[in-house]
Amino acid sequence: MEISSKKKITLANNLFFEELKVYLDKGQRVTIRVAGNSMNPFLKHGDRVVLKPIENADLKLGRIVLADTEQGYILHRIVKIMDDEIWLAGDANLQQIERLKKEEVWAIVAEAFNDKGKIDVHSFLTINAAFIWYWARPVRRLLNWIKK
Amino acid sequence: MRLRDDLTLRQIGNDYIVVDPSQDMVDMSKVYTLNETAAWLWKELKGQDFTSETMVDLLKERYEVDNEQVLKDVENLVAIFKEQGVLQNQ
Repeated sequence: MEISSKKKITLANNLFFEELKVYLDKGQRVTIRVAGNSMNPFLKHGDRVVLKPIENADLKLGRIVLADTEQGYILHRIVKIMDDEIWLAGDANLQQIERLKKEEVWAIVAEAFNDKGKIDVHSFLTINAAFIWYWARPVRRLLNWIKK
Repeated sequence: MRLRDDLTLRQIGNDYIVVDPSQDMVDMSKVYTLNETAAWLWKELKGQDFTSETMVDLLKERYEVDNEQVLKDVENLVAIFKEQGVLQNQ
């Protein structure tokens, strides 16, 4: 017999997100931990983010959102908004862009924290920095290629 | 003692988790996972005042275990309950 508290839970991914959706649908905010490094350097593995159910007004360039895609659940940044499509990109990714329908975007990051405290995610400065980082993709690809 | 009324036990697949929906915020970065025995005991204890003896009795009714083992398990569990803050403040 045991009961334990784990910082990182190991539930199957889809079950975890189904559970998360239950709360988002009720209009509640949900805190989760960032898994993976696809949002480096802006969000790192293990950082905590507070997710808020998405509203139309939240769909703005540069915002980090949670989406349910055919490839799985992702927490990436909006890089393009079209009438019927939203494009997302992971800050650390060099090439990949996810093209989604609006309905696939579930939540937006309202706040984020790491060990040191609050992370500034959606200020004017951070979003600008993130776009410079995004537009620098060709250079980053080149650097990445040179490093090899 | 008493388990906090605001905590909810949810079964997700084969796992049981206790989520803490404090006010408008659900913290899924910190969830308590329970195995089947602990989850069963949680359900039995929820919504009532209980003592360590209540827990021992419940477990002995359901499982064939010797006294010493049950006492030890219950003691551990109570310590974890306290440590994790899942008990109502008295």
